[in-house]
Amino acid sequence: MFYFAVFYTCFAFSQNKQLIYGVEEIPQSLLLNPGGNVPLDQKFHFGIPLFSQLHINAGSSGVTAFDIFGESDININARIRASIFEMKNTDFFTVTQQLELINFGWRNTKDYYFTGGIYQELDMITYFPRDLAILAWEGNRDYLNYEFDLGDLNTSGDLLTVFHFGANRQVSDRLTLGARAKIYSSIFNYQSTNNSGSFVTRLGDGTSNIYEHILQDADVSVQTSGYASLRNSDEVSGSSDVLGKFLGRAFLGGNMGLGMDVGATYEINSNWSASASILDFGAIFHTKDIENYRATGNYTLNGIELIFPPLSEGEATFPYYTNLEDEISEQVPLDTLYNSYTVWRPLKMNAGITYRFGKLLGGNECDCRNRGGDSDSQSLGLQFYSIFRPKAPQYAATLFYYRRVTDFLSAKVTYTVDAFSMDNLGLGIVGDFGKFNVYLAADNLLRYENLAKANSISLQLGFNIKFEN
Amino acid sequence: MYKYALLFLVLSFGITSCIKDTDFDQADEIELSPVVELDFLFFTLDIDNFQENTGFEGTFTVVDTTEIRFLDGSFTQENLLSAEYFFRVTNSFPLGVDANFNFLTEENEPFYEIDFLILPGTNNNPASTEFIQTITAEEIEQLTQTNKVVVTFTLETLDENLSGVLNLQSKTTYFLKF
Repeated sequence: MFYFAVFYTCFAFSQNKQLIYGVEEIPQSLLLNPGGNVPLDQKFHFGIPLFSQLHINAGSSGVTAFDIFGESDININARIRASIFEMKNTDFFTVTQQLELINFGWRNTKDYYFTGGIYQELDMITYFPRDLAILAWEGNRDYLNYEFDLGDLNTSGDLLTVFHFGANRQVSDRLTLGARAKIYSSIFNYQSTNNSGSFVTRLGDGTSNIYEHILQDADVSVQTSGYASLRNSDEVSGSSDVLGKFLGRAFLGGNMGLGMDVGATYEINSNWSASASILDFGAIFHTKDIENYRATGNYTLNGIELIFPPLSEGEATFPYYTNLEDEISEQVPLDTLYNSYTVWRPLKMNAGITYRFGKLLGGNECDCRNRGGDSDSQSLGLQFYSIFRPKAPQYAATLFYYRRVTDFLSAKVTYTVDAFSMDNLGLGIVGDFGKFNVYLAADNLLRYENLAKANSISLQLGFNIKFEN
Repeated sequence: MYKYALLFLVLSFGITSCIKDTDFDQADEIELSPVVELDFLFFTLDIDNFQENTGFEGTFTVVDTTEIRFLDGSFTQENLLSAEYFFRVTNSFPLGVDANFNFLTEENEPFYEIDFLILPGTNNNPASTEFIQTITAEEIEQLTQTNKVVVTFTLETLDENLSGVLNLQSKTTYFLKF
């Protein structure tokens, strides 16, 4: 558990797949832009079940594993302390993992390319709760009058299965459009994102005690779905029961949601094209197996005031401590609620502009409009990516170079600037070995020789079978 | 053959990365050492609060008890390294006052005691007494067996019309490590 926590806190993940976006040899690129170009000679594809796409992306915008666990003469506690103070409350840790269970697509006689599939997704983000980390690490002694912000607690996570079906069509010589409908089947969700209030220790004014410990305007809540029943020992008595519950929810037995993706590609001229997509415009409606917690209120603690009541022999004094607990519970009640809630999926936007040129190695000059010929030999372009997150959208900009190296092998190199780093180089390779399609993409290659020094890592890997005309 | 060599190259790409120059065993050395300041007891007494102590002629005492339940909690027992009690008392009684804090277990066994003398003052010029009791790592196990404190203040006088006010404020500094 600890190492999971270490792993989780040392890498942050986003969902940017800059190496796959726009690479039409990879069928999964349609998941990033349902309106992306599909090779005209591609008739049918299906992914190798469970192996058609594994995506892992993890990142930390403020600290690396090496910063904490690197071999050093400096004590690890000193390094952790330094990191706590270096990081901001807008730094974040994210984890995204996707495992495609099924992916398929086919072209019909009217030149629509339909796609469908199922994938499982884990998406978690935790902003660094700087004030709470300082309070836990240092205590309050050296922070009199400092208002620890409870709003620093900001985290959310989703484990779900996505069922999708979409269509793509080149509607004119220049324009390709696509859309995809999604059904979300939530397995587990939690979020604690709208917290506010503060905790401060001040010197007292002399009328009561030495300090005043003040909880002011506290409003802290956690919403969960899929959690309460796991604590029910009548229903769950072991890991097999948990797995059984998860599988049931994964296949439309849990809380449901709806969403859609849309995208387009526009050929500006024979060399230039532009594309854009909006993904996961939708929400999950959590109505079952809900358990929410909320604490609100104000309270000032001065310690315990003794009043020395006159007592007869054997008579008990006031239950000061119980009264104190009751008073806190009354003024800052912690409620357990069971009301439904809706979670919007993290909306993602991709956009790109591409300049195609060049020729195949040993081949002819590219005829970029003729995608059945010596096409797409090289391209250069810019991509933009954003994802809506609880505190603010996150952005990434990518400069890429794509090259069709041989008739069966293509590669894409990216340079990405995002919240994690300014020097993220990535490489994606896709090969078509007969009908067998394989792709592998990884970024942060400059940190590849030692991933511990990377602020983020991303890996995508998959195998497909493609049939051409 | 050329194609499959490339395929092998592509696949091996994914398994050749590594994490090095790191020592995750250092996780065992991670220690949080917060120092927490927390108000303790406070009260104000005048002569009406005191009662003649029939057991000890010539003394007036006042006694009260409160639970401090977290003291013998498992978290405290496992993680409290040491503690420091700080008392600030202003006294306008013209006599010294004996302050006694007796920490008891659930079964009312005394396990730790703080005792100090409060300086005498006057109504016009109350005396201020500050007292710090440090509970070292060697003593802390005694404190964390307790969950209540009996507070006893004693005036040595025969004058039941004695005039004065005694105000006590206090805090505890908890040195934690976990």
